Amino acid sequence: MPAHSNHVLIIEDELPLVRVLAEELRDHGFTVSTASNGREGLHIALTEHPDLILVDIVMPEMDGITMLKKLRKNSWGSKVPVIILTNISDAAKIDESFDSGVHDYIVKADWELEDIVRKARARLAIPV
Amino acid sequence: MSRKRSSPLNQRVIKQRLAYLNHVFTQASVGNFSEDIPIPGEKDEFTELYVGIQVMLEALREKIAQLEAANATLDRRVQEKNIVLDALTQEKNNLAEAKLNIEAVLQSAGEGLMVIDVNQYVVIVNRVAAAILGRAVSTIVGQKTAEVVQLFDAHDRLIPFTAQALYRALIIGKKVSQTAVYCQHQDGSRIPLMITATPVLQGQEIIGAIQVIRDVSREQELEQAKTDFISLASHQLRTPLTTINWYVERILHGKTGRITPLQEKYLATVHESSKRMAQLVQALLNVSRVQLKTFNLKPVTCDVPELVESVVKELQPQITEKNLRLEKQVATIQEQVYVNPKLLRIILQTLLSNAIKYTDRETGVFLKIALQPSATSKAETILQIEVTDSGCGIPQKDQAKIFEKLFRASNVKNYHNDGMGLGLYLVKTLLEYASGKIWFESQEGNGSHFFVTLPLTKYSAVALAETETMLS
Repeated sequence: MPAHSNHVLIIEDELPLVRVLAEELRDHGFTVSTASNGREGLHIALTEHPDLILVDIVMPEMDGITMLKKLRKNSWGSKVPVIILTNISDAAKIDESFDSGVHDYIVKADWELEDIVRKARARLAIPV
Repeated sequence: MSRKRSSPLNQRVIKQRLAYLNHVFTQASVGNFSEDIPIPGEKDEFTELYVGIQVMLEALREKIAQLEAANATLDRRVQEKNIVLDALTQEKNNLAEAKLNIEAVLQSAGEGLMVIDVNQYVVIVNRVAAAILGRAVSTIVGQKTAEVVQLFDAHDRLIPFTAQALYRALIIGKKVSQTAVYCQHQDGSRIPLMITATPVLQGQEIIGAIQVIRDVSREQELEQAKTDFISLASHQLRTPLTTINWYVERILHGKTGRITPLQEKYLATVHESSKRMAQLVQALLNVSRVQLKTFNLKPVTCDVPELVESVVKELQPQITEKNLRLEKQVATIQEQVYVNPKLLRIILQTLLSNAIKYTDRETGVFLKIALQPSATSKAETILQIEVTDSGCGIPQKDQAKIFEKLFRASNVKNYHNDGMGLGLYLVKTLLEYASGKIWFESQEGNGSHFFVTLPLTKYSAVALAETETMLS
């Protein structure tokens, strides 16, 4: 497994969630970067080129959908896998994110940490 | 000849005779014909003249009398005419006043009003309607309606007059409502309108149509605010619950060091309760969405058996805990079907979790899923869901109310305090919007058998576009 294929960027404004999710992912061998809004997340994504991005929708400064649209305009950013982290079970919003090239979404309140780890592994084709 | 028979008159008598004639004519010249002319006793040269004058006088008197009588009749007629004329004038004033009153009422109405005649010309328009249409009242009245009322649909396409409510009310003679129509204001902005048009009938005959035009911008803003609030509440209520879940999960998994069995038991309860709370929040949000009609039922391609499996998997802990047998008979679905997965998930979750909750330990729950061709449409197929349990059943007296919001059957509410009475209400309401049906057979103490039918769209993208609507 190449060392650089397990870098996850979490973009989420709820810091306790960021912390616990980052800890869980690190425990499972991922390299984790974090950002607390879309603007910061976009900057980190474009400079660090993570292998997978987990992004919240509702965030201050720049929301996840806007961030995603900007990301997709970049040649590197057009290909990176993205999973939406949301608590909005609003189908319209989720549809909109799929239009912007989202690969999957996780409704946070319905998911356990270990499910997210499993999903991240599957997306990056990391064997368990 | 008489002259030969009479003696010649002397100068004096002639003078006298002529003076009298003069007197008579003077009187006549001022309109007095009442004096008779004295006919001399003895015939003389004047006698015939005097008689002639007397006859003339009498004829004149008669004519005058006739004229006076005719005059009197005329006067009477004129008087009568005047009375009628006065009455007419009064009536005209009343009408003018009534018209002013009607106009005042129409003008003061808070809603836009427009009346057209049978030839589609505008007869009356009030200020509110004119303001909504962005024109002056004077530039609308008397115009052809199609030229002054330009309406657009949600995609900014001009709606032809023949497709407008007003025209249709005029043609079909029935009340017609139209929503999601817009008019363009002078500043270029689009104003959302709700229009209700009604034919104006005189007896059986349609003599025109009236439309009430409402600017619904404010209502739309409120609707949007409600939807935004639900989204926000969804996010804000669920985020702290997620935080609790994830931290407890890490402690439970020993990521923070060893925990005692009692700590583990307590934390497991915290975890379960917090997950249940998240589900309750979701149920409440779903109910709000249904009531606000913002629940999206857009059908998408859906792997029905896979969705069934995922719902069953979620319920596995409860099935295991009660040591139940879950028998499934799920049809293999060959063709691609379109259904809203959230809707199908809610139906399956509600029916199965109810069956599991209310059935006795160590019994069975039966789930059957089948497809059946639709009797009405080739583009549709009917999904049939049946869930059977052998539990406590629904008492006869509660059966009519089982789909009501917040209703819980009398035989379960004291034993199972974790129900909210929302599940079946939500399923029933959603199914109504999705043209589906739900019904049941049940006997208290003998289990319940629930049936659902839900029309699914097959293949065609056209049919999909047609069903691609929010609840409305």
